[in-house]
Amino acid sequence: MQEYVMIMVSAALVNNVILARFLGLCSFMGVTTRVDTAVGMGMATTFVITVSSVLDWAVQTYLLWPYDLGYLRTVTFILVIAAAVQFTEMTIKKVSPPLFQMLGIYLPLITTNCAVLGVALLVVEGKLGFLASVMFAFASSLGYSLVMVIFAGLRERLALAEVPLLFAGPPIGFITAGLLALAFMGFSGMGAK
Amino acid sequence: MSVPSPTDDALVEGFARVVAVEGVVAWLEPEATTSCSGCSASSACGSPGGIGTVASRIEARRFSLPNDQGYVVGERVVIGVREQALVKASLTAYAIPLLCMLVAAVVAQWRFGRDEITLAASLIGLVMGFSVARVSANYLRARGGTTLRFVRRADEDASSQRVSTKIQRIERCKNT
Repeated sequence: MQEYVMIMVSAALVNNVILARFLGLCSFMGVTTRVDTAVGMGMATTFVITVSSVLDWAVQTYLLWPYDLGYLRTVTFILVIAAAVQFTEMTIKKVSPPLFQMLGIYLPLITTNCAVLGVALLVVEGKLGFLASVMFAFASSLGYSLVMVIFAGLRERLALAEVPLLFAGPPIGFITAGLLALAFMGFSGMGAK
Repeated sequence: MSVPSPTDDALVEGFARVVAVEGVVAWLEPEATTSCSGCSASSACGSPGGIGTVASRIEARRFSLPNDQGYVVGERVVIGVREQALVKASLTAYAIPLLCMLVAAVVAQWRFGRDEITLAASLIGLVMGFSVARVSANYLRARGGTTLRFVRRADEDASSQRVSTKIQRIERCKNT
């Protein structure tokens, strides 16, 4: 149990996907102008990362390793992720068309989100068991969503602030992201004696 | 510090174009946002007409509204949905299936301790989660929680919309 908690805290906070591994920066800057859109994107990404990591773990364990096909890993994972996104899109459309109308816009953005592929590769590199891999992927995506929502909240405040013209727009956004990354570096001291 | 609580009438707005009018029903398609052109995937989904392209995805998201505003084909309108509805929809569509999958995986691992069984259980949990999400989505729809609303015609007053959005944000920050 303690092992799973350590994996989750490490993946979500200490080695945060966005602020420590610098993955998913495109959506981090692009979809964080409002908190509600950040929540939508965060939830969608959490779902896709976790489900695709489950499938990628199965493909790696039962197909790529036994048949010594490791060199096909990246291509295979991209295919699996694209299939997972397409499956999710079709399922949500089937389960609830109104929800698809509201949330469908985020799914195509996830297909090319490098955080999804990055987490899947990290899961495999970690050579963890199935449940530990799922927990790692889930916690990584929770960390991604947490940072997205925090940053969206900060940017909503910044929209009302009197920012000098030189820093207005993306520059103050990057400065804020840098300060947020510094704040998250505080978690790297967790567990140190 | 308290968490800001959006008012009930706070809307997430977007543009849509009227593509057909059939008596009392108007069909609309959401417009591709300006950020689409800046997206790293734009080159991959830019070929017209194919499966998974921007055009086909937008067509798939076609929706209807009651034609009580006298819509004209080709007209641009602003549509909105409540902010809270977006969060509830996200939780329904993604969180419920995901939690079911995780719970099933944890229970299977604790009970059997074998990766193959845990994998199968998690997939079964995911399917069950989608079933629960379907029930929850129907409940949301029955309460009108996911209904898209007509806000105004797009060309009417873009500037007043910007002002009202800013006022809305200031009010939210004051409440914190």
